[in-house]
Amino acid sequence: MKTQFIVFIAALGLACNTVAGQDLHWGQLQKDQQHFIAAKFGADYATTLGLAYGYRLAKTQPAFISAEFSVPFGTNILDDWKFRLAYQRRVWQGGDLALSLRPGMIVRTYASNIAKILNVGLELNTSLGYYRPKWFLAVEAGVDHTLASKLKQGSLKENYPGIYEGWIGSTGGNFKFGANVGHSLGKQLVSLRLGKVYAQNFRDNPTLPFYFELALLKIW
Amino acid sequence: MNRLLFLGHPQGMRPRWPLFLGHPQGMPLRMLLFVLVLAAFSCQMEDPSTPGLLVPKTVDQDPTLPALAINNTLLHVETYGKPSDPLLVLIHGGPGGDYRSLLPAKAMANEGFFVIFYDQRGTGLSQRVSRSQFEGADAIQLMIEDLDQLIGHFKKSPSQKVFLMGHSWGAMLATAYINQNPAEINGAVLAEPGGLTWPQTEDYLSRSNKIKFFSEALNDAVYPEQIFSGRDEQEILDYKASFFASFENAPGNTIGNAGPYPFWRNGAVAFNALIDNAEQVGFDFTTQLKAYKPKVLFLYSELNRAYQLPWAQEVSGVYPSAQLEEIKACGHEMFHFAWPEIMEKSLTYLKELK
Repeated sequence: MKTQFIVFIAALGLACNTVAGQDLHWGQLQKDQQHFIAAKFGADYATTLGLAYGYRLAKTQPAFISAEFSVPFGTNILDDWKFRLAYQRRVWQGGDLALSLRPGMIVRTYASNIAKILNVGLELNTSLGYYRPKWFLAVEAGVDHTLASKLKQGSLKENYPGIYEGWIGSTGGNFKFGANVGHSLGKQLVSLRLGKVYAQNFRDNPTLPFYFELALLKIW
Repeated sequence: MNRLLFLGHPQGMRPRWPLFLGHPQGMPLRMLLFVLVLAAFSCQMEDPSTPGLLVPKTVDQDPTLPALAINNTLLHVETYGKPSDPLLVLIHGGPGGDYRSLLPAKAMANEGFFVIFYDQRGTGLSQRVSRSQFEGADAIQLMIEDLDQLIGHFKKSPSQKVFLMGHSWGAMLATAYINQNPAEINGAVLAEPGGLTWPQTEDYLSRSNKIKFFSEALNDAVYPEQIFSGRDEQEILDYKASFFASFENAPGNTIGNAGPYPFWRNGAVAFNALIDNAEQVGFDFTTQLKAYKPKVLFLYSELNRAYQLPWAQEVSGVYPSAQLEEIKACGHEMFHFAWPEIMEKSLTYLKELK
């Protein structure tokens, strides 16, 4: 736990020089800005910490490739984690309004005495925002769909020796609906995302039915 | 030497993208190809809802399992002992649990009892049922009727005595049955019923399921919910519930469990629907308890910090006669972790009433 906090604080320090915005502040994107990093704290099915890096594909294009790694809190630091690789792009701009899309893939793991799971999924997020120089406000929606999971059973195997181990197909997915606000503080910008999570059938909803994310981001 | 030349970049110039990713402008296409290949293969993979794949088959799927058809459902039922002996019906916890962790109680067959185990409607190895059966004001009544028909099936004569032994939710259901049928039951062993009314149960649950937001126990329980999400098949919901159930056995858990205990299947639909039902319509199993004459044996565990003597006194206080006993050095899952002590106390009590 202490290590997680140290990593998070160090990442915040890195991010606090000049900050543009979370995922991203399309209204402030400059031609010479090609990289971003972000440090994140939030709730994403569990309480989590995350780091993200993005690389701009071309100076003339408002498009980035980004990678994000996050872990939930807990005494076992790397037993559960989520890695996202995404392509994010502003697809429309009209005045201060902008629409962006972010398709991507997810690799995540889970481990406990019950079982170990490696899962691969796809996600698509979109946001429509109002971007001013010092702040922005966006509404967002996303879908996360699982493709396949590899299971290695733990204590469940003691209860049920015939339980299957190996690859299984899709185990479902979820939707997220929420809002994202960002505000500049000098050369820094803090963003906050908040929203609701639904299972894909809108019935089997998660125990923590909301997400939030506090992020500091630096772009250069 | 230039570090990047050493790394072998053709122009000896620093690339402007991370080396491990390759050229970023090709990334979207590569990602798409990878995902398409995986998606194609995912169709060939095992379907997680296949019966028997992730959770054991139920009595309707496996004819070799002992079963009994009553009240328009098929229950997983086992019996031990001589059918003419006094009946001792074991009622498991949950809701949504099963009787596997209660099986040490089959030793009571050697003490002159006909011991009956059953997985409640829609739980354990009993047939799965639709969520609608657990909805509406009569949901718990259906569980009471199942128990009534089970007793009626095995009771050979009006004089054959019937005792109930319930754990947790099972002790609550036993009380619900006694409340409606006080003359039918000659005695009961009740182990840590959370509460006998819904407000009382909510109070207990708020203490026993206290969440620590930054704990390993929490993410062990809920992190898989992003992977198993929104599939309606009960086989998947039951497997997913196994992860959530780990919360109560995690190190440092409030209810004092020393670790995992055996089970067949978590009945996710039964659990969720009955909790939702209680939140909507509530329950009160105490309305007629004053009419119940026999003494009940009321057990609570030493290590369950959410229970303890004051709560045991409050919950058992509605019975006209209750004998309270603490089970030492164990937590809520006392049938699995401390059966010898339970058996000793239960036998002493039951022999008085037998």
